[in-house]
Amino acid sequence: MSSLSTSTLASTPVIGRKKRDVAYLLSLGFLIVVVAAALLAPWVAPYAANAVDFTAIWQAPGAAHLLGTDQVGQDLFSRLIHGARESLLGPLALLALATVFGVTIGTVAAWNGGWIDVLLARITDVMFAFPGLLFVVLVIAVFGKGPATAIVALALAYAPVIAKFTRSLALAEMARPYVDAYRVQGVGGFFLCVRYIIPNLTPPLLGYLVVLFGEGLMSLATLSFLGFGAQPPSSEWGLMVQEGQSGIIQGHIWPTLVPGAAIAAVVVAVNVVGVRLSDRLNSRFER
Amino acid sequence: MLLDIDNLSLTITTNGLSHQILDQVSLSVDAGEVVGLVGESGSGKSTTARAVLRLYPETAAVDGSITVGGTEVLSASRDELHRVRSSEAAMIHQDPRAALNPLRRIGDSLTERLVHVLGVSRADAAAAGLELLAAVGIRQPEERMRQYPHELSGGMLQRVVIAAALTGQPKLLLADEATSALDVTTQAEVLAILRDLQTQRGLGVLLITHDLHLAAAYCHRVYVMYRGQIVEELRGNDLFHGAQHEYTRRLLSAVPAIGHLPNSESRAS
Amino acid sequence: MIRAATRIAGMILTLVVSSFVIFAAMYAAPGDPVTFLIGNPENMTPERVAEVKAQYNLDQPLIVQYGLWASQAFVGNLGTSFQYHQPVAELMATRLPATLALVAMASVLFIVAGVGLGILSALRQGKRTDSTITAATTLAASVPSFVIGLLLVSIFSVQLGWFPVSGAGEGFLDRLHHLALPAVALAVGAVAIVSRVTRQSMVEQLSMDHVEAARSFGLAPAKLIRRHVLRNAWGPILTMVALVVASMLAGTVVVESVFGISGVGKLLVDAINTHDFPVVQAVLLYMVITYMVVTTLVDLIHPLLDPRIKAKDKKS
Repeated sequence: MSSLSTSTLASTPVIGRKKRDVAYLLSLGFLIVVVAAALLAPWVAPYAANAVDFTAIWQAPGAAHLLGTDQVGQDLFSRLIHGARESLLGPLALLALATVFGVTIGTVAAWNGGWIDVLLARITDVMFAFPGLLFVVLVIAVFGKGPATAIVALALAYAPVIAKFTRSLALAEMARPYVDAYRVQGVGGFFLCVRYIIPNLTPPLLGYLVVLFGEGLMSLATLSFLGFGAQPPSSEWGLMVQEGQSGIIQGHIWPTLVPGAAIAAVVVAVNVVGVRLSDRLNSRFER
Repeated sequence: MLLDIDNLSLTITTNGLSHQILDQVSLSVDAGEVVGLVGESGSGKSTTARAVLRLYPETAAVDGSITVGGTEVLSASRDELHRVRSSEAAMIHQDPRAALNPLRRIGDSLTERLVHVLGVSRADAAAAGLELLAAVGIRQPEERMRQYPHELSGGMLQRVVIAAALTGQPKLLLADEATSALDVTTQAEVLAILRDLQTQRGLGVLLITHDLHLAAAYCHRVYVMYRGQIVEELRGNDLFHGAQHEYTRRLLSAVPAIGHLPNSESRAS
Repeated sequence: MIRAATRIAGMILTLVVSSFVIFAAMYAAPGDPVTFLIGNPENMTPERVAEVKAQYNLDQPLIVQYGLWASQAFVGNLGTSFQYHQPVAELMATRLPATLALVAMASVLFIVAGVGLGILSALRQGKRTDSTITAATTLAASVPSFVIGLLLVSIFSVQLGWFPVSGAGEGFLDRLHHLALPAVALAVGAVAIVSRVTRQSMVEQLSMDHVEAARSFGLAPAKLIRRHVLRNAWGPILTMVALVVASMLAGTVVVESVFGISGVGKLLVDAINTHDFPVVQAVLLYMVITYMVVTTLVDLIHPLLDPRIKAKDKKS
């Protein structure tokens, strides 16, 4: 299980400003194209996702099949585009879920302190005791395989991480004088949190979430590759790699390479955009 | 002349912007002479001293000449530079706590130059180190050698640093604010030790400081530096009344007058 | 001493809680635990039910069940696999060597490459080499390990025929040969992390006064790096290396699947697929324990590297 934390790779101070701008624009453009293709999949894809054609199996990229075909003659380009929906929506859903839980718990822990704070600390301790995706594997072992289980399990694993991050941001925010000023006037804690504190946390949190998105995408693809996430006939990218695996021994690399490269390209682009975004948002945030 | 700096200019370019740090600096230190270099922070004092050992970024554009004991430093070969650094001139840094590797024992840091640069055997180096520790007034030197920097006081550490600087038997000491990180009493002690060593060994000392009282009392001659230029050269005794240059006067007038003794309670900055 | 004691106590507490989570997870499953543990309804024979009930003491209260399970696990009895009808401990023992060999090889690779590239990066700070290394390692870390593994197989096993396609091999040399590609696949992601930490830590040390002081008295560059920069930069590097090794011990699942290596990770995946819950519990327990032991060990070793921490420790 790749326990690689891409967030530790964030911020690349070495590369010059101009190159970073180019990388950022390229990445952003690439992501826009990918998202657009996913949204418009039925219209953009030349074939249906599961259009089997036994007369054209394991073809290399060419005019008829832009990125080649797999062992049953399915068009890889079309499967990639259709699969983009699930591959991108998955991490999005998992982050949305994890963020709702994480931000709520983190803010409450920072605001109330006391037992909630202690409990959060203990839960994160136990979560961190499960290296990599082990906690997720446990959840899947108990609740069975499938994309929904994988997403919920990953969300449960990410929530404490986000909660911890939110808590530290919220504590810093609460130390600012305006909070006391409002409290003195009798403004309620809940109102203050929802109206001021959480909105002020959004910029730094957003940058962090973008980087987490790349990580989530890799994790979900990994689970699908192991057969725990997306199930056939889906063309989720991790699953596509798994299905392409059988062709490798016979020398057919395209069914593996195409979805594999797609995952890598999106993760790289997301990281580049995420780092840039958090740089920019943070500098505005800190003024 | 032991040290001769002639028309030294140094420019550093970062992100396309050039900063001239030194502009036509000329100064000299003779053997057995203590020469002060005073000025506010950022005036280029430290850069000047560091340039003597060719310690500046590779990207710096340097012009002029620096000779140490007759060796031209700026164009020195690797071997020549190595000789200057290891046995002609030694630098004493401002903060002794930072100047010593916190993870190495005092003895190790003290003898590092002898063992790892000059190739002296460990035993001989240890003996020389003990002798020097005694010379800078450290009691129980054997025990100190085994301790780590965090176990010693700042004054003690600065003595260790001075002792370490002397291991290569240099003729020139570059003391860069060598006592400003110490409290007043310790500062006086360390300065006294430095003075004793200087006279015994006939060392040339370039003393960089922002403390004008100290410079006046301690130095034979004083150079005043302002924005990368030497604006005035005075005899130590004349510093407080002989100043001609406008900047020197302003600098002096900023010092609370308590007399001309090396009273360090008053600082120029 | 006190620090070490609290650290170990903390580890044991977390271990108890996480092992409880691993054990009690079956109660979170829909339906009653017997049905869950048996899995396939076709196997629901009276003998099987009795077997399951006996193994898990299902007649007892939950906390007693956990206590019995944990104390058995403590003495090495991890139950019997429903699938293989074999003690789980035996199963694990046959699978462990391949996994440990894989992790050991991957660790050597990523430590040498990561620390090496990190040092190079720090010494060429801000230059082309530096940015190339950063870009290349970051890029490599963005490719999931299963993709890297499959590409390696495709190129070096299938096209070039240099390495076997799958298996762990017998004997030392054969094992090296078999595990070379899996080890590379496992190591690639870690190189980015370790080289970055190494670079960061070294850059920090390079700017220290004592480094310049040593340079000012003519210490040769190689010695300067070794005695003043690397020596002082080890702390964070060692911590990160240990963390990565620890998570690798628990993270061979993917690579073992790709390369068909019968290690502990493969055992876990198979156990989930065949619904062999005792094995799942045992493997997870093993992975959590190794992870925690390794990370705790490093925390305890760390002060030995830095006399300042030791001193603080004595005072407290």
